[in-house]
Amino acid sequence: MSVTLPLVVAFVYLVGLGLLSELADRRPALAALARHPIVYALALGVYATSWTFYGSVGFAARYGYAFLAVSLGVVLACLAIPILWRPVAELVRRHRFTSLADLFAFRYQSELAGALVTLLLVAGLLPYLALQLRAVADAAVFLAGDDAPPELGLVYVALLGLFAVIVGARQSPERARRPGLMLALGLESLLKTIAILVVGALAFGELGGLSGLNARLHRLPDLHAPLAESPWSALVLSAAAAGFLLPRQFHVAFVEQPSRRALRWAIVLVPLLLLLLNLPLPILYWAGLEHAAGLGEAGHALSPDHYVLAASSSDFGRLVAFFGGLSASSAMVLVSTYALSGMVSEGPRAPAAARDPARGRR
Amino acid sequence: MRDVSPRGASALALALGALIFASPLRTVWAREGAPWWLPFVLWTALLVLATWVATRKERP
Repeated sequence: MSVTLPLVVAFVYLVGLGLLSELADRRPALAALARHPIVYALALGVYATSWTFYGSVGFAARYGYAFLAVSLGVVLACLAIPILWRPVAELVRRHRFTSLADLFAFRYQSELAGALVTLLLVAGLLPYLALQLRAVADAAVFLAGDDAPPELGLVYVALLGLFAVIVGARQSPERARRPGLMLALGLESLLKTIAILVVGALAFGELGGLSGLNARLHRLPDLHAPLAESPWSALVLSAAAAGFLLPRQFHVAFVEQPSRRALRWAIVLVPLLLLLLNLPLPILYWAGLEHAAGLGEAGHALSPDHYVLAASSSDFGRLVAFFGGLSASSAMVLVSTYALSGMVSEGPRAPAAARDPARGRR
Repeated sequence: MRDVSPRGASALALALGALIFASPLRTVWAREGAPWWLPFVLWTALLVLATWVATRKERP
C-alpha cells in the first residue's frame, strides 16, 4: 500500500472530527444529540484503545483468552453501576468536580491528596499515551512496508498531537461540559466498532466461513490452553477499576454525564459495545496465523500485534483495520490529554468549598 | 423479582457475572476443547441480565 493513502485518510478523518466537535459545541441541535444516552454509552467506549485493536491479538498469542479479561472487568463494573458509579456521579454532580483529583481532595479533605493523585496519573498515563501514538505510527509503517520513509511515524505522532491540542485545548468556562467532545468520542467508538466488525467479517470470509474455520480449528492454537498461566484475576480486577477510574473514563462517565437516565443505559450498552469489539478478535488471531504461515520464513517475523492488519489480504481490509486503530488511539489521546490538562492546570479543589456549595467556588 | 431495587439487582448480577467470569468456575468455559464461542455466548447472557438491572426502578 502507498504511504500516502493512510496519511490522507488519517488527515481527513481527524480534521472532520475536529470540525464536528467544533460544530457540536456551537449548535444546540448537535449539542442535544451529544446528550443522548446512546452517545454517552458510545463515548464510554473510549476505554477500548489501540490495545484492543492490535495488542489484544498479540496478548492472545501469548495468553489465549486472557485478553477478554481486560473487557470483562469493565462489564462487571457496568453491572455495578447502581452500586458503585451512581454515588460517585451524585458527588460529582453535587460538588461540580471536574476530575478524579477533585474527588480525592474532597474524600481526604486535602489538596495534597488531589495533587498526589494528579502526579501519579500524569506519570502513569504519559507512557500509555506514548504507546497509543506508537501503535498508530507502527501500523502506518507496517502498511507502507519497504516504502516507509524513516520519518513516517513522526508525521503521525505530530498529526495526532496537533489534533488533541486543537480539539482539546479550548477552555470552557469552569470546564463546563463539552458536547463536541462527547459527540466526537461517540462517533469514534461507533466507527472503530464498525471497522473491527468489517475486518473480522473479511477475515472470516478468507478463512472459509464457519465450515472453513471448523476445518482448521484442530490445527490452530486453542485459546483456552494458556489461560491458566495468565494473570486472569488481577486483570479482571484492574479492568473493573479502570473502567470508571482512568482519567478518560472518569471524565466521560461522571464529568460529562448528561443525565441519570444515561447511566442506566450504560449498564447494557457499554458491555454490548465491548462484546462487539472483542467478538472478531479470535477470528483475526487465527486469520493472522494463517497469513503468517502462508508467508513461510517471512511469516516468523510478523508480530502478532500486526495480525489485525495482516488478517485481510485486500488493501481495503488493511486500510479499514488501520482506520479502526487510528480512531481508537485518537479518542484515547484526545480525552486523556483533556482530562489530565485540567488536573494539572487547575489543581484539585479546596475541600472546604467542595463540601459547602453555598460558599461558592474559589 | 419485579420488586427488586436497582441496587439489589446490580448486586445479584455482579455476583453472577463474577461467578461466571472471575471465579475458579471459569474453568467450565475455559477448559481445553470447549467451543471457542462459549465465552461470548455467556457474555450475551450477561447482557440479558444487564438489561434486567437497567430496567429496575427505584422504589419511591
